[in-house]
Amino acid sequence: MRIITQDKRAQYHSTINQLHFVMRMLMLIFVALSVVIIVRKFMILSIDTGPLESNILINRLIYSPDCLADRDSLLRLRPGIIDLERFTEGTLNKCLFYGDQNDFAAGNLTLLFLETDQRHELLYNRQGYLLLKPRAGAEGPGGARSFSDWKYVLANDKGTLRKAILFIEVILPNN
Amino acid sequence: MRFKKRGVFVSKRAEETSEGLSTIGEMVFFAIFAFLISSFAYGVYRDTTFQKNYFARDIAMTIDVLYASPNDIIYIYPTTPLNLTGFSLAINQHNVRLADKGTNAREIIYWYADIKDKLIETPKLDNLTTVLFKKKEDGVVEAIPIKIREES
Repeated sequence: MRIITQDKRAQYHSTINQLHFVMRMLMLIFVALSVVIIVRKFMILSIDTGPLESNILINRLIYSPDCLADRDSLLRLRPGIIDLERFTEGTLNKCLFYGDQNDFAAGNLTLLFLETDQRHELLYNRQGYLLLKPRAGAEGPGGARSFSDWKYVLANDKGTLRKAILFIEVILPNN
Repeated sequence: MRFKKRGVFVSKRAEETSEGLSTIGEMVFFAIFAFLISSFAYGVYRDTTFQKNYFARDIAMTIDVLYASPNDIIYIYPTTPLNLTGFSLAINQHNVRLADKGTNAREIIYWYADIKDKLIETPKLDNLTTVLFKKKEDGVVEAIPIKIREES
């Protein structure tokens, strides 16, 4: 009878020991995982430059002498004035040239004339735009991000300056 | 004959041995884990991926900004707090390519937009101090690498 009592007590202690061991192992795993998560959280290998890049591209479209900016009779640049003769897809594809296969940027430019509500719309990198537009907003590789902006501009229409708003949408693939 | 069972063990010595072994196991686990974490952290510390990524993007965007400039401009790329000394740099084919000096391993590439027919073609160079960018009146941007003066 006494042997049976000792047996039960021993079994109880052994079970407590095993539970204690399991708890220690769980704590160990928790600490190890926490350290790994903290290290990974503080390890930065990439930088998000999408908004800045889109801003630079938009400014480049408007102010670069090779893009849409207008020039006076002395060939001086007139920032904020768009030459309507240069407002073509050919000009855009020449002044922002990423190579024959452009997988890096695409855009949509809409010029709205304030006096007539007339619209001129053109696409930069038409093929890329048609591919990237449906993916805009999708996360991860293969997705893209869309950035929009608008600016008041003057459009030089064969010597006449017309008030307009230029709406610009830039789509950049995720990287 | 009957044994005095101690749970799963038949004797106190066996139980003590088991506890000792589990403690040793935990210590070994901790040692291996500490070694792996330390070597990983050291690898991250030695890794230059972030710096290369930073430089590649920054130089590419600098070129885009220079193209956006309405006038001719000379711009010396700043080299503080980071500098280009440990890297090889190439600017061509609409790409800024940065790799660790003397190797192509783990090259980081970032792209910029040229003007068609006015491409930047700077070959791969090591031992750079900085880069001087020059936008001329005709809109052509040149990237002129400035090298560390080698002692004779």
